[in-house]
Amino acid sequence: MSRRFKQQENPADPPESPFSIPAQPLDIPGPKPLIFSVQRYFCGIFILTVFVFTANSCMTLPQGQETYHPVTEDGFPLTLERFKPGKITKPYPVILCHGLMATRKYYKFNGERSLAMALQKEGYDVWLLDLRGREDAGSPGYYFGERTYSYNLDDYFKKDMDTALSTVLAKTGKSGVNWIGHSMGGMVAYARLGTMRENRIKNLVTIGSPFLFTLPGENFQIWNSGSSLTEYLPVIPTGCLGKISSYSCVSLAPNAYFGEMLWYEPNLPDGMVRKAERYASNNIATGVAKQFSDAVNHGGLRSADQSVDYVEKLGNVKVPAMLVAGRRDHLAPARVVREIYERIGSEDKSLYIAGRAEGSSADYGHTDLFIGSGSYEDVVVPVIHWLNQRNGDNQ
Amino acid sequence: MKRFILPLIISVLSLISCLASVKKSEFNVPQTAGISHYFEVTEFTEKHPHSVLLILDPLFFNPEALQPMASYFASEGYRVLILEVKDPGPPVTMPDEAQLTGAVEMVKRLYPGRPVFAMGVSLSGIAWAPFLEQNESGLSGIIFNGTGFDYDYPGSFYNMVAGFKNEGTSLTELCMTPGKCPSFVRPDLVSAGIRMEDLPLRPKGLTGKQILNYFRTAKIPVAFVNGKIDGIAPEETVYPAIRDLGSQKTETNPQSRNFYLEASTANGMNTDYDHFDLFTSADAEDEIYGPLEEWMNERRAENEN
Repeated sequence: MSRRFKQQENPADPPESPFSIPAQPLDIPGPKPLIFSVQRYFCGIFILTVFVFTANSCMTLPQGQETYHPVTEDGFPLTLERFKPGKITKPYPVILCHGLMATRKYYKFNGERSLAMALQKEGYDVWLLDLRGREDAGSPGYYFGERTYSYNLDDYFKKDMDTALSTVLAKTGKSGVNWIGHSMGGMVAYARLGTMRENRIKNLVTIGSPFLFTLPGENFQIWNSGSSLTEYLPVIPTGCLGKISSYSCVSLAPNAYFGEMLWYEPNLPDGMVRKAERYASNNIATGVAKQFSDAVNHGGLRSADQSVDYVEKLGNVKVPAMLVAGRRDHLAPARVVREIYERIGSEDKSLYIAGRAEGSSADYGHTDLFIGSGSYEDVVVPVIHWLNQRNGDNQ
Repeated sequence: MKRFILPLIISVLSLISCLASVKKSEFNVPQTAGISHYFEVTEFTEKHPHSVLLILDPLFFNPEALQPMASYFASEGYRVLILEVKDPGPPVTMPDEAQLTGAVEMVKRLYPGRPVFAMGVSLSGIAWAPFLEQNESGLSGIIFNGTGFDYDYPGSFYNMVAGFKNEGTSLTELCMTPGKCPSFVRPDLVSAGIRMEDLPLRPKGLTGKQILNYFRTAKIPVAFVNGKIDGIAPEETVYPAIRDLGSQKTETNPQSRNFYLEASTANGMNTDYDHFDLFTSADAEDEIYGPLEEWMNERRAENEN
């Protein structure tokens, strides 16, 4: 028997009318129902989350005029985003290549003061490269699908670099490029130039690129111990973790200074860490992680099958090269960058350390070298100056 | 009654703590005396020192800045002797091998049977390098604390300072002018009396890459300490010596007698150290001196065995 029927049975209850005015609560102070407060609280959080998410989704980065997705010989699509200047005044275009767990978006974060935009303004035909496995060209599947995270660092420099270089040269009609790589983006260039007689790279700039891994610090070893996950996971989910960290505002780092492996936060503009975690962090393929782990244990980068020691081939790097190091960089310490500087075979080479003692406004960490608050003056301008001298200014 | 127990315990502990520090400072009153024509020695010691630690004048700054470090090692059972150059110049010149040999021999005569460790601090530390291949010197180990070795690359600190000198500007003048000083020295330390007229001149054989030869043929255990953001003895000037020395003590190589400590957050420290943090930071006692003491104790135990 329904309650309504019961009510009708009770003569004391007045009949309900659609026009009846709801009963007003008596004005007696008392505790509010707890359930009501909790509902309001969660509702508020939900609205706030939606607002923040929407606001962040609206973040706009500079967009190139053209975007291509060339496919490598083994079927992986890449992304090449082109920033063409009003008038191309330099003989060689520039390819900018990102680091290990990053994407090309890093190069655009500082807007007009970012490396990509500054190069474009200087008259360079600028191409931002996403290596395989980045979501803009279609993320690989974890276990199934046409492509999975089943590649390693050798694939980056043997296949992806070849495809990127061919595409850029075909689109521009030029005979060579300037290659700028941050972190792993510079390492792949060392590996290719050292082992493959690559002659399409005319000038090389590496920013915070390790290749040797001597005397790793404790945090580096913690980071490296994470590579044991490669035995159990199809991919190291750094992209997912970055997004979780960004949205939850909870650091997932194992200790207070672990994040300083990647950046020194006081050197970054407000909100940059969240932005980087959310928009430019990427998963690491297990093959790549294993190769890095081997490099840390061995002391330098080797081929995936460990048969070729790429460090021994550094003498084959003969192109003009500028090596940039951050004084506070824990991933590519200045001692390592200087050692690479000594080993490469280039006659025209420059070592540039971004630190206060060297006249910079800050001691730079790994990523703040090009997304830091002062990186335009301290790094971007010197890099462009160096490139200009090898792209026609003094020729 | 119960509410008085906690304050009482705290008071007693505080009293004990105060008494302990008084006792420590009583034993650490420095005693200064001449040891040769060249050096003046300031001694820090406690009652029964088991070893001797010889610290060479940093030359680049006033050795008084080393007092906290010297007091620490004295409180841990080391007789600490700071070798101060009597006439530091200008021109500021590092002591040569013969002058240091004289000092070491005199110390060994004064304190026979005690292990003797040498510590080089800041730029002048390289003066100890020739001792690396001398087993007969009797040194049980050499510590290079904030010492750079190979400055042979464009833009290095020595080359940069040479550029200032060519412009006729002394470092002191440069750094006392607001906004003019490259930030390798904090202004408070400049005004505290750092000797900045010139950089110490290196003895013959210790310039350029020649110095690395001593590390390739080293027979004596070596410890290196460098600050992560040290712009005076930056890591890229220290690393070539470590590389050429060979094996370092690590988790996978615990048997090595050589030790490298980078003072940085990457190694769990509270901050990335600069040059002067190595000697003046409040955290240095735990983060720098403690590990060095442990290393010296290991070497001492080796000698006893």
